[in-house]
Amino acid sequence: MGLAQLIHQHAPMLEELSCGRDDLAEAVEQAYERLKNASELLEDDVDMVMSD
Amino acid sequence: MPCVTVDQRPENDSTTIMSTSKCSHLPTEIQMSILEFLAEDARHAVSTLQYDEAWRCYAQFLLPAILVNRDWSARGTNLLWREPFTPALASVQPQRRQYYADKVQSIGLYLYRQDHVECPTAFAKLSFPQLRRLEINSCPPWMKLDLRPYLSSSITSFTMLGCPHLPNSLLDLIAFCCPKLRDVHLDYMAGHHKNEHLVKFLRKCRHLRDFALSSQDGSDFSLDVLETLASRKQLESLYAPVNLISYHSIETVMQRNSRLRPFRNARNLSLSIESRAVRPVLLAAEFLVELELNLADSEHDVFGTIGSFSCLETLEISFSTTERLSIQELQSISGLTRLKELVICGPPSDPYQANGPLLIAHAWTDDDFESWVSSYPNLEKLTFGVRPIASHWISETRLIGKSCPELTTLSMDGIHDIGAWRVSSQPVFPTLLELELGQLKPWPFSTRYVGRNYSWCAETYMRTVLSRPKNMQWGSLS
Repeated sequence: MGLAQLIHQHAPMLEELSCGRDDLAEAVEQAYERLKNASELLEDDVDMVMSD
Repeated sequence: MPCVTVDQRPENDSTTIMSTSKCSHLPTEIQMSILEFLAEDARHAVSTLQYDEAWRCYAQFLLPAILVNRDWSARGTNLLWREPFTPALASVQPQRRQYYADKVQSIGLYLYRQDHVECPTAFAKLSFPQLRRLEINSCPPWMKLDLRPYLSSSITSFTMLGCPHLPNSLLDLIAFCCPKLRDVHLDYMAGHHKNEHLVKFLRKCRHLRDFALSSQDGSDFSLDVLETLASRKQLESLYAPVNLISYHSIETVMQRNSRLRPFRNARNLSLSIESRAVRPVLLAAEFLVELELNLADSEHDVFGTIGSFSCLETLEISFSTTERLSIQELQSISGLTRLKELVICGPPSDPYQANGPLLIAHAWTDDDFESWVSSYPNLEKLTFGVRPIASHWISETRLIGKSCPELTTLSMDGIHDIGAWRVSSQPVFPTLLELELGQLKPWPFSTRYVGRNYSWCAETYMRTVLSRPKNMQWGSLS
């Protein structure tokens, strides 16, 4: 399992993430951001289905 | 009597309620409750706006209430002008200005703003009999500011920042005209002669509860100012994070007055202080709830003294020099079980210099750390600018999550292997909103990544994770 996914699962309400200044940190932060956005879109889809 | 429940009104439909004839004859206290409710609603609505835009929006919210009848108009207008946008008052016709000035309870002259610069001239002949709060900010050197229109005996809160050229005797005038002052914020302490006025001012403000001094000139607390503040029985809050309190100062003050119990009723203290002065300054402050110390040196232990303040909910300690912290030192504050915010940090390091001055954890183990952090079950914010020496943090973040289930902010220096979170079947940080870690340990969050470089890891990781976010399932930890 990747670090961003691990963070996303273990801190589900996280709004701000900063984990260093090296390449790994940058990659994880970007991946986390994309993962969070994807997850929010997924939740929106679920909400729409539920409301239908 | 008809029952009107404000909470049940349709959204944005205050006009409907206000225009009913029954509403217009409501008892005063109910009218006031409704108006206060509308004002609170309005304040919330304009909280993201600024200056004149916020004021116009606020006025529009209250307008339906003001238009009901003469009664409502009077009370609504009072409420509207209680805390006006200052240039709005200056733009009222001169003959009507005093009518509104009579209602003003809070006014700010932000003289760095162009639209505020003309306000003192417009208010020169007014009086503000109900004024409770006055703030003067950044008076330009060319302006001869006459404070007399504002100096009402009803003022309880006074702030003056960025006005170094105003005459020294101004504080005397303010203390004389405003005997009910409880809350004062100044950045005015520079030079011995001004301290004389400050001491006189402090002595005359008999009801002072909350005092903030944010002088940026680097001057120390003078003996007289320190003695005056430390001996004030009513003082509940002192915010002075810049001007240093030296050991010599507090020792001399204590010698002058051996019965002095400094800051005995203080709830909040924010001080710049020598480590040796911490004990004598805080000796009697047993009711402290919030404590912020900017330590000028690390020569003496401060944790032993701080550990005795069992009411503390917020503790912030900033070291100005490199320090090796032993777990035994930190154990001294493990009795502070009410802590909600704990900040321990070193001097600000150069972000581009990895080996800048830091706090260093000296001979800590996981067990030591767990036994310490488990003392704070109510912790909501932890900022821990400590870096371990000659080893990496292993599972501290997981131990923090386990011990502090209400944590919303976590900031830690050092290198962290968050792979340790995997052993937990439940979210390690169920309420966390902000996470800041010094550095991530680059291995072995997946054994597949061992021996590869960062960019390969990142690329592979992103390709793997982002290709299937919808398949992500909680609990698939194997």
